[in-house]
Amino acid sequence: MFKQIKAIMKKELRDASRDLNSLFSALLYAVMGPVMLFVMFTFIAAEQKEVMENREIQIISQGSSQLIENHFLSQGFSVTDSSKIILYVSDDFEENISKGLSGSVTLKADLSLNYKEVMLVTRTLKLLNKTIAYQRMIARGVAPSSGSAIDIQVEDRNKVSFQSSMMVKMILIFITTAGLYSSMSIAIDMTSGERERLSLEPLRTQPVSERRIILGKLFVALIFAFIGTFITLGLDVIALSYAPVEELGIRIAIDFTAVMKVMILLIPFIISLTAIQIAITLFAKSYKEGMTYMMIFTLIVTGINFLPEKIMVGYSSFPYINELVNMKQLLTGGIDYVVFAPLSIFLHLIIAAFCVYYAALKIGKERMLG
Amino acid sequence: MIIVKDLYKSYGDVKAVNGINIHCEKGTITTLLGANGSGKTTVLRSLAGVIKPDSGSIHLGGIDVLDDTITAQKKLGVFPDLFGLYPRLTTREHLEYFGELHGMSSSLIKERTEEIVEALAMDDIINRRTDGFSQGQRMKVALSRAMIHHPEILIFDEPTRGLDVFSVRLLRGILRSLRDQGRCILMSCHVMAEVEDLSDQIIMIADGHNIAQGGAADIIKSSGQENLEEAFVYFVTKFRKEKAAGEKNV
Repeated sequence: MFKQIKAIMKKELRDASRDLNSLFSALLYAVMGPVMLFVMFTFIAAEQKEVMENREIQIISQGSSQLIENHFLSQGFSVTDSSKIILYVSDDFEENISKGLSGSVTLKADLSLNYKEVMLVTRTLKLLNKTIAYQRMIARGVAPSSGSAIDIQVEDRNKVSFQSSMMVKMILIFITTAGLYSSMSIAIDMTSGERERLSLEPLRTQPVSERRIILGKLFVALIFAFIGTFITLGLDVIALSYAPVEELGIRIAIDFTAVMKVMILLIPFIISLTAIQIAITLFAKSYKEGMTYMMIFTLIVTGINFLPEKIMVGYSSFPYINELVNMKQLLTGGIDYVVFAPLSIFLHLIIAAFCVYYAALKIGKERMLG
Repeated sequence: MIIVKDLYKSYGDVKAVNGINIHCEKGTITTLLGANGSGKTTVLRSLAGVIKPDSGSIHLGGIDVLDDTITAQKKLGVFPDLFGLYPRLTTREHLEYFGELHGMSSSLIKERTEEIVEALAMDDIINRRTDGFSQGQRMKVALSRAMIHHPEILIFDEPTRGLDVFSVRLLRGILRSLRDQGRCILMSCHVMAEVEDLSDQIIMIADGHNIAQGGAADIIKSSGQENLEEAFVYFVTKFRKEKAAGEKNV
């Protein structure tokens, strides 16, 4: 049995290693994912740094706007004659403030381009508003605290910041789909490609069972899937150690130990996804058709990453969701709901076994011969 | 030895094979002669164990193909009409792969490869990838793949299609040599000259039925025609007339 599976694996590996297009596309995603993460983090950090370093505002007023100008200057802003953010201060602003009335200001900017800068200016104005309100209360002999009936303290129970959580989600998308992308071309070539080049008929006339044919092909696809995932994980460690993640306030605990744990978590995950991949691609009569099916499948797998947190936690012992929840916890250093799920591992193996069984039936069908 | 009894196979409403019977002895070449769509390829694929007939029995070398397909396939070498080669593998790697699927040791595969290279004059292509091979070269690879495990039964589906005269001559020589070695050969063919020249037995089929059977000379004689082509046309026409009359009566 193993001799025949080994023969099929040897042939498929030899065939795949000579298909430069498949090899290139297998490695491209595994390498490009971490590179894209590095570029993305660096770009976001640089943008954030730029916003903080180049805080500037143009203040226009017919009357006096000294109060506002001084406040912005004290908060590290430069008040310039020309800026993307323009603050129109009403002529009677300071007069109204001194009378204890409201002073009116209008902020003009292109929000689609300068959203972060506008938010920063708004926060600075809110601070001034609060300062003036407190000063008025003190002047009237009223404790400033009486202006706030409820003192709201928000304490994040999660050890992971929202921003970290979002960034980890991005990393997880690359990690969970790396195996799929790395084995995609090879899997399609071994299944729909075999149909397309009409080599399935001579293969089926050999004394080898359909199940062994499928197992041989699945093992080769798994080799590529594991190599691709391992490359992605390894490069993620390198990319994130050089990327300015801390400047973004993100805490990601991705080191060698975390990578090993993630890799172990991913074993049943990759086995079942690759088995599904083999079963799906057998439906296609050509490489092109197989690629279409696989793109749809990959989109669905990617979509699981975007399930609401409530569903993720609620179904955390289910396959795919379990690995995502656990990987997220591992990478962010949180331990709140790490779920060791024998159910998930068991279901992954059942899914893989069913796919092998189904694919063996499918490859034995007459219509596969063309 | 090949024994096929009352083979039936339908695809929906289309009856592809309608009670075919075949009996081929060791050391003979039997040819299935039929028009396009007459059911030849379906019969050969059923024999090779890749499609399952609706009813009937197939025995290859005493093994029931439907009961024990894998054991039957060990005795069989198949030359399909479309060669189905792997373009990124060399000829040698094809032989290695198919030899390993038959459980042959690497030393035996090497030995047989050398034999085949000599027999088919394949020195120039043995270490070349099959991508870009001519039809004749592709035929050699498909033929050597079918022969690597020394099968006692060989099936050829339209082996001479698309080949030049040199390749046909080579193939003819190989077929004769295999027959002389005691192999049982069943092939399908359209070319009357080839059929007449090579076949010990001809089985004419039309619309999935046996319509005539015997040696070329016997068939020509029983049809009262001058040659095999005329005899074939005679039997097919006669069968279709009888079939139409039968349907009319029903």
